[in-house]
Amino acid sequence: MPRHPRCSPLFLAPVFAAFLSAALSMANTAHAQTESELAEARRWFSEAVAQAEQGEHEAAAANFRRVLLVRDSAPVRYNLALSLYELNQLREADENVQLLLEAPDTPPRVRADAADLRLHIEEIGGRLTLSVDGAEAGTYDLQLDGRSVPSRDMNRPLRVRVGTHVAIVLRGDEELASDTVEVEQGADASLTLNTGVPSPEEVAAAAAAAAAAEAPVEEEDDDRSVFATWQFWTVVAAVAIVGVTIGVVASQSGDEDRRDEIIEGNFEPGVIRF
Amino acid sequence: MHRFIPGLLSLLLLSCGTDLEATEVVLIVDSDLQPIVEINRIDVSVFDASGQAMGATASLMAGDIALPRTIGIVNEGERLGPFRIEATAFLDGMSVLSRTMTFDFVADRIMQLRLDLTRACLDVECVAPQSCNGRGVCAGTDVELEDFTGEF
Repeated sequence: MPRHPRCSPLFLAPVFAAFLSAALSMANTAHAQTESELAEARRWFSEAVAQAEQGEHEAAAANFRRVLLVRDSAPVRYNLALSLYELNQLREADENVQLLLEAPDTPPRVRADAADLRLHIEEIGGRLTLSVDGAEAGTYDLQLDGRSVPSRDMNRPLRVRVGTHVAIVLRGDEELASDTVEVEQGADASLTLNTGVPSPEEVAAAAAAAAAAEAPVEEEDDDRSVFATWQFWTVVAAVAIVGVTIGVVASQSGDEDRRDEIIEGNFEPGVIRF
Repeated sequence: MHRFIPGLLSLLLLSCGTDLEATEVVLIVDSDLQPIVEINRIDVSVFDASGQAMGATASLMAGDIALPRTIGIVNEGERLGPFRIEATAFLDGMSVLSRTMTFDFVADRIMQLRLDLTRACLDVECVAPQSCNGRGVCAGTDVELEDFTGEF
């Protein structure tokens, strides 16, 4: 596997140590970690770096994930992406790279390394677009090579390793569809799985629609006109109440808004709050 | 080494004319030690009166933002002080020198505080509650804040 010098965990280890030393020492974070959790996270991090240096990327990735659960920071996420890259889990590696590139607070140096890593992911992999026909989104689990594919990753190119991939659509334990696809280096491939099996919710919705279609037309007209008028005025009243409430809250919070104009610095993080 | 930062000034101008500002101290950290060669990282820890700590770090490697570096310390609580700042400069993970300062916030005002990690404090060992005062002398850590100017 081609490997770029900047992609060595050793390269970022001092940066991670520096960052983690500060980041993990923050007792008052959004997650309000306890001292013991932070100490544990530091230990996992040290272990992960040592494991990555020894080529034990599976174990390293697991430990980096554990650290992220305690504190989600850009350097740790980059390290995880790097371990996944070494494991040839390019889709997961690229997901983490994408998060780093999208996050506005990713430090410039980590951002540059993440962009560099993406180039290497692209060099050794291909792209695969997955889609599912015949089942409503949210009623099934799509898995690629044994790992779930989030709905946001469907119908768009995913970076995957070169070779044969197996995609399966599951509903509970039931396999609705499966197929394999070959991805070549630098190439685009696509795979559409057709389930052809409606979900119980889809069956129920279809039945309800059919029942509504069979109802007498005259009754619908009389009842719905009254109902629609009541619904309309309810919505009007609700909108008016919400609008007035927003106006009152906005006028009362003006002073608080001014307090939000704070000066950010260029440490990492740029602002700390007590 | 001192320079004007337009982005911060624009934020300052935005905050001018309002009756209420954030209760904030902009900490300006500078050093006469040579970045990359003599120091390549600065850590800052801030402790409130109860001992609760928050931290931040500034990398001073090639390509990083030059000194002075800044951090906004915002107080959204009731107690204005005392707050303690400990700043430590490192070279490759080894502590080079540290300084401590103690201050009280000014309610609804943005103030600034300058902390210089000076060569004069190298090898100066002070016993708490004293700290090197920047001129190589051990002294008390209480400092007065200045109005925030946006110029460093």
